[in-house]
Amino acid sequence: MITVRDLTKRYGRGKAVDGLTFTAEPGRVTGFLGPNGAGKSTTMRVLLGLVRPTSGEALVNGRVYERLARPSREVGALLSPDAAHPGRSARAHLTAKAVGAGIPRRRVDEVLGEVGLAEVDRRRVGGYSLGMRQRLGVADALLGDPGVLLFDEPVNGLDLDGVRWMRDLTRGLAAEGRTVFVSSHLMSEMEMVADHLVVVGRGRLIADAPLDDVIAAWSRKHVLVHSPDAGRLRERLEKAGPGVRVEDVSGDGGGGAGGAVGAERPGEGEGTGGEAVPGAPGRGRAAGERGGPAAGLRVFGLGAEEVGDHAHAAGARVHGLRVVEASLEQAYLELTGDAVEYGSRAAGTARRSAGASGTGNGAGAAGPASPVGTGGTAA
Amino acid sequence: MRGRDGMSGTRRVGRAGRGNGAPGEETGGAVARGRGPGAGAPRSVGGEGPPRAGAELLRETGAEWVRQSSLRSTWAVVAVALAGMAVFAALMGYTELTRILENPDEADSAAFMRLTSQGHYYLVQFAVLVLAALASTGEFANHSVTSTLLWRPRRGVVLAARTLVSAVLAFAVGVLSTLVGVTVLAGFVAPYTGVDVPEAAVAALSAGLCMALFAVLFTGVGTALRSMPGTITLGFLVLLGLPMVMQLSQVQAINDAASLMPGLAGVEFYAGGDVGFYTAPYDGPVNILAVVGWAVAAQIVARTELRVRDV
Repeated sequence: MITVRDLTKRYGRGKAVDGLTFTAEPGRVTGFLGPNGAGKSTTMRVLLGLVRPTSGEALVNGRVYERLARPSREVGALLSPDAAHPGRSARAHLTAKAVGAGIPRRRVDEVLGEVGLAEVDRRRVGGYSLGMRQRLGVADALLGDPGVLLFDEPVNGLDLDGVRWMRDLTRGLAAEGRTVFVSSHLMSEMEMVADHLVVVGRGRLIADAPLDDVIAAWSRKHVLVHSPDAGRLRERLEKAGPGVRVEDVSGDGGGGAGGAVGAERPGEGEGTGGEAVPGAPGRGRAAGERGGPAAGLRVFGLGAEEVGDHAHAAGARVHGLRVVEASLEQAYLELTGDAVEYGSRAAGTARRSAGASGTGNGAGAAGPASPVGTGGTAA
Repeated sequence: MRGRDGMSGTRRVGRAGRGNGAPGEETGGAVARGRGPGAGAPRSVGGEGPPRAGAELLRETGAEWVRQSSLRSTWAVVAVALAGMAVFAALMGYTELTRILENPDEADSAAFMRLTSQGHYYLVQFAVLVLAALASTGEFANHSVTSTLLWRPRRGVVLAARTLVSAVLAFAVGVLSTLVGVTVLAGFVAPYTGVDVPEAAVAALSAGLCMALFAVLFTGVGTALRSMPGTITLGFLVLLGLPMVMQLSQVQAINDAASLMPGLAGVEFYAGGDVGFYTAPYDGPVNILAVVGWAVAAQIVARTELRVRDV
């Protein structure tokens, strides 16, 4: 059980963590998601007593870390691949920890076997690959058979096989009833392992909810249709039923939505953007309904076939039609994008580049929560 | 899609060596009750209470011994110290022999203590400095200190254990290097003067004690500075550079104060007052007390710094 309450850590004038509150419950994987520099590692280090908080509290099993009776048996952590001295063998590193914690030495053999380092246990850690060092870090974390595990970016440096292994391990540890708290900036990875998500940006809490809720709340499956006769199509669709809702692609999605259109239909975004907003190719345009170039509509509550049929019935030409699936990646970009909006020009640029990199495909899906246009104008 | 079903029963964290109250079993609802304003109060989560301070230090000392002894650099420095003393003793032995051959009256058993003390002063004490610096700063340089402190949140225990192991190693280096020095010297001058065994034993133990105190001092300095170059630079200054500069001073008080620096006070102690060059106007326990003072001061700074500064 991990409890963080109103935690703030200040470095000089900046706040690495700013009033963060959340809990990580036993028996599930709690994903700690946020972009680089969001305060994830700092939060973990405060939890582990390595860094003192400026205010607030971070408790493990209900206690400040320093007051844990036997931290070796209660908490295991993988903070970085540098957990072991490069001049020491994996076996010596783990043996030292086992001796210090009063853990039988045969446990060292067990964890070495478990992480797949038994064959190289006497080699010096300095000669290990990044993936092997990550595995040693996992062995280190598991050595005391702890009930609470903290993994900071555990899949960094792992190959595909290693990533899958890490994923299974993480899920398995939670299934055994342990509290598993995993940080990552990789939303795709979180989607694979987490039950619950704590999303942070700039040290602040953005979301604290079950994974499914985060996806459901922030990204919705819909049909994206582009038509030069968007006005006519929209009229038709809005009469299709009470469960159907239609949004303009660029009407409320801001720069992110424009980026999505650009990614969906190469050339179109540049063309329209070039006329409307020179130098902002990613921005779509809202006024396309009245004919001319195709405008995008997001249709919620209907399938692709139905939207196609309605277009046909309305006599509206269709230049593009596809289903946009909800994904955590979308939700994440929206969530952290919001946080970045508070900040500097540099952060705005970062967001824009994220949207334009291709991962922004459909990022405007969660449009209602996204401030309009600031990402684009920051350019 | 989500790979939940990818999890299989292939991995299972063992529970070796664990009795009742194992953490894996105790997590969950029980610990959640600890939340609340008074959560900071110590409470037994598992069946086992916190280890006693003595037991904790003992375990950490064991861990620290594994940490230091598993590094090749530790043994390399020990070997350099002993080899350095052997070479120094050979050089001095040859010189002494030449002197004795020129004038047999020069043969003097006090040469053993004087010459090995010079070996400690010029060579061995710097090996001890490096030994302590390696032990105290190495983990900060490569960040493995987080792994060490994670399981020992009472950081003072880590410092105490590290200091203890470094001091024991340094004591061994001091004693062994004295014995090496005496043996090599004897190889040259034994036909002309015998070794005074009790005196040699005192010399070995004195050097061992002083080297151990230097290890305490520089483990403290290294822990406070967290930097190997910084520790070694400061070590050279304190042991050799500063006292030499101070002795150049025409101000008598500064000149005299140089003898309270750890390098000079130390050699005055383990050489038994006759190292063969000018050290200090003071004789007696003041010298070893000066070294103790330096060591204690460094430890106080290190302990405070380690406890309050983030890692």
